[in-house]
Amino acid sequence: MTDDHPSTGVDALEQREIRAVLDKILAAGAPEAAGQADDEFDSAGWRQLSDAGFTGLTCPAELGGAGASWYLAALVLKSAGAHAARVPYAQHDLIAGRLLDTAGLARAADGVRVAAVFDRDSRQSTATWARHATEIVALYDAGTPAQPAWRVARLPAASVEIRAGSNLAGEPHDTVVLNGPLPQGVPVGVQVPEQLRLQAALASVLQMAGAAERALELTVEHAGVRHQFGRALAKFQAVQHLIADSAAEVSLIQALADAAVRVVGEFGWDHPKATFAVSAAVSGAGHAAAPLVRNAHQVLGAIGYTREHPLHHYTNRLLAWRSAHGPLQRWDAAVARDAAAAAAADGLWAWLVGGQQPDEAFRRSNQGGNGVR
Amino acid sequence: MSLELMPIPRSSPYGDESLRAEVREFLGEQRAAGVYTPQVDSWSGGWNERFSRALADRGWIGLTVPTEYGGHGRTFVERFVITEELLAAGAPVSAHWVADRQAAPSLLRYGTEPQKQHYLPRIVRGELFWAIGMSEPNSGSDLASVQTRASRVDGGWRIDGTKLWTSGAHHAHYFFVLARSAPLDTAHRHAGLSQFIVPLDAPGVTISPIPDMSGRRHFNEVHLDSVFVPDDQVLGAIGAGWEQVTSELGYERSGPERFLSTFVLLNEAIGQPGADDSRLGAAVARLFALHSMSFSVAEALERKEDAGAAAAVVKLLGTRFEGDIVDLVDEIAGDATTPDALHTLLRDAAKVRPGFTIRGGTTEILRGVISRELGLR
Repeated sequence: MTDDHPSTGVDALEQREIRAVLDKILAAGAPEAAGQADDEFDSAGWRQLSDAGFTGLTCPAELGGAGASWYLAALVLKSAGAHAARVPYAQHDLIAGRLLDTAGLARAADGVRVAAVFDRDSRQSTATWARHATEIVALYDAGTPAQPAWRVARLPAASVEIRAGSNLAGEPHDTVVLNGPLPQGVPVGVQVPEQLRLQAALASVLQMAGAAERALELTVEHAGVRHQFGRALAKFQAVQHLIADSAAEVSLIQALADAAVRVVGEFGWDHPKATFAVSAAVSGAGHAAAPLVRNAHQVLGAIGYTREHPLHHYTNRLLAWRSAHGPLQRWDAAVARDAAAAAAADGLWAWLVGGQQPDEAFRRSNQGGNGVR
Repeated sequence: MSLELMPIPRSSPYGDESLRAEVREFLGEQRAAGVYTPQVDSWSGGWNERFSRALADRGWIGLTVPTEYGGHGRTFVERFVITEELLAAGAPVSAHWVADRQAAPSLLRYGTEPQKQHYLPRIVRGELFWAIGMSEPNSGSDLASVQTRASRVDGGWRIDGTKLWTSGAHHAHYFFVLARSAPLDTAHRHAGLSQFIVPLDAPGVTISPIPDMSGRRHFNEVHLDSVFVPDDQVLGAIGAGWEQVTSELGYERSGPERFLSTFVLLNEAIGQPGADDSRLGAAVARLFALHSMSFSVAEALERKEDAGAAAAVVKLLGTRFEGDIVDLVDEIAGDATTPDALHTLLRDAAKVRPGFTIRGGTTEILRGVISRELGLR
């Protein structure tokens, strides 16, 4: 039985090797090694990522990129999350980069690009890492309420106003303000904003998967070396159970992230399965983060919430990233609405796991009816 | 020691969708013929021999049993898909459940050729039902402490003791009995245990019902008074009982029965008009996660990988989730004096819910398994 997945061409061993390369590059800029602030750009790490070919990973081959899929991008995102990396990989390659590809605009060989989405009549947009960008890739609606007309334009960073902001983890969560007219942009399809929203959200979940992994590592490490009452914390059942629960939630986050990558890879971004898988990933990972963060801090005690200890870089990123694309409840509510609609149509179960629901009566009510049992 | 508890998934978590459609069509026919109505916890509380025979006739019992023993030689992933479909539909699979999911794999792994030839084809045909004799009044999580004795006699063994919580013993044909065949050595508690194949109508076997709080009778106390077991009905090796029992845990703990026991209830709640409570959405998302994780374990079992810790994760999260569904639906829908479908399912689920996190390895035991895998113990 092969390890290869036919649509990724990347087997499990290769995945581990690539991940090891990424970890080596990003370790130097991680909070454990470097003394930088969360909003400072790790230019050395970015240069190494770029030299190793990662910053243009998903750029199509015919446009000079590696033409890789999200299966590989996922590895970069996880490694970035696991090192609290201060590099805008998702923005540069997956979001802004993909906007350019979609619009048929060439990606610049150098620099840092971030995407900013402007609703119709809006002149402001949040864009993480904008203050370190050399280029803003704007997605804006030049149409009417009845007929949106989305366009992509590129703006030199110097041509816009950037207002610094930060998220819970202190990352650069900036606002791009347009003080002049937008250049004439290239039209793109109406599905693009929704695709971008899902891509950005999935990128955050994959980063969360990496941060979750690291939070668990720090927890296990600490429990092994911290001694009280004559033995390591790890030997206390109460502590073991906190960590076991954390590990289970980490597994859940990774499972949702990986499932979403596979579903998107198999069905494409526009398929309802992809919308659901990404939404489920955001919701599930977001809720799983709570017990994970709580338990990690509980095990690490007072030292775990000092500024000096690296744990907060990971736990605060988990909390920041789970809300980066709107409050969790909004994602939950969207899943609930879609689930209710599915229940009324082909049935909830068929919608969740696929396959036709051939039996009409079964479709309408996979339910007890009166007098169940 | 590894922090990566789950196997890497190899495919998107859907499996063969045409197989799912086949099962759904079959279920529609069975429902239309009045063979069953959907229920919660249908793999534990849904004993329906007619339904089991119908499933067997379709070739959906003994899926992974090799064809040389009358089985269907299909994959773990196919079995996973079919099982998911049955449980999501609340179909009554209890009668053949233990035979299919525990007895058959144990017989395949540890049975003698005559045992395999005798029992497996009949299990596959849905004719033979099984129970598990492990727990005792003084032995639950601490299974190695069982006191049922197996004493050597001419041509076999004499079994004396009492088994408890023996689900389905009043209907099943056989059960595996875990007994102490050598005196307890406190330095090696797991040594000296053996498994025996015992007919539930054997002389000396007395079965007494223990109704649970729902009034349902699936638990029993089984008393064994000088029950004779011939040598050819020993399962595996004398003294190897502990390894034999624990080896199947990856199969027993990771399946869809560990997160779908209350799906019928969740489905009913989501089907209510105006059901847009965001917490239901969060529940659906978590369900998808558990399904994906359980699917990845099925894939790993197909590759013959050890998945004990992964299975513990699935059961830990899944059984907690099953109970949380009950709470959530209760919070949203409350109780009703004259219960409709939703409230009937809700009451049923509430009454069986405590068992989810206790049966097949308690939550606390599972956390211990995971802790060991993480290198904490």
